[in-house]
Amino acid sequence: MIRRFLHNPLAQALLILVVSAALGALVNAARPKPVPWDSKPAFDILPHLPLAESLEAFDAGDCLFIDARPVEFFQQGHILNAISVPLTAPEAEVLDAVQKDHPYRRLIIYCEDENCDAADAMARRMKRMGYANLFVLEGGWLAWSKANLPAQ
Amino acid sequence: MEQGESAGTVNASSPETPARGTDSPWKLWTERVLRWGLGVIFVYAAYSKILDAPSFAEEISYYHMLPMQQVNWMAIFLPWLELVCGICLLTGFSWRGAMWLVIAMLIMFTYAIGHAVHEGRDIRCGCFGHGESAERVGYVAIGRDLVMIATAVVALFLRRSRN
Repeated sequence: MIRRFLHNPLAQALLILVVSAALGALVNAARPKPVPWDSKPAFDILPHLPLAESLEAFDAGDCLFIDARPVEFFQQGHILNAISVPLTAPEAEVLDAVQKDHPYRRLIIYCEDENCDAADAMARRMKRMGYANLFVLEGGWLAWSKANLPAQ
Repeated sequence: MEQGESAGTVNASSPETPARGTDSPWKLWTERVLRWGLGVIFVYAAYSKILDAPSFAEEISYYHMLPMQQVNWMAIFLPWLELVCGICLLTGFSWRGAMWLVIAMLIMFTYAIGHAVHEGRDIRCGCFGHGESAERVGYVAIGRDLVMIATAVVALFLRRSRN
């Protein structure tokens, strides 16, 4: 009877779903840092800085803007005095571009707009590398340039 | 011998006209090769996601299609579903059920990537592996998924016998 049941593709699919769910739940429970079952994110979400606050920080001159887009995008236009550290840059290049004992109060990372993941991913990457005071510019380069804020 | 391939897959008396319910060797081997290919791809795709579930959750979240709780559930279950389906396709155990699930997953992936491309998102695909230089969403990923759907459908319907 079980053999007959298992000849049905629907039954096979159900069995696979049950086995996968059980394995997933068991292995997750055994992880040192399990993925939460509730709505808590499983990864660090770094603070996003609204445009107005980013401009205040820019005017105060105590922050460094980091452009996480590919170099070609940076060359076409970027926030004034920002440095280019693409998401794909090797770790040595990141360490070279931004010293760990930098004098800035904030490191503000941005990518193209709100539809890109490079700024968030870069912020998380830099946090893993030991950097602190990391922020993501809300709306990215597009919001900054649309507001006619200082650029080059 | 794999499950579902035990009985009379070739009609020995008249090889050119297989009997009803049997398959010619080329169909059998084509189905096997396609199935093994998809199996390897799915096991490979599952591997890095199982090792680093939080990074996979992060990649799913960038699609902005699911609330965080469902993102977490996907990160917990989906890689294991890929792995179990991959193993079933490789071993032949419950492979038809696995193939239907693979098709369902691929349709879901294609829709998600298509949606991200349509919305102009520049995000990592989350298809194979993590890291900063991992593949990004785009027409290549959509095309690859469509080819895999076609492969799965061909493998599923190539053999007439439902053993």
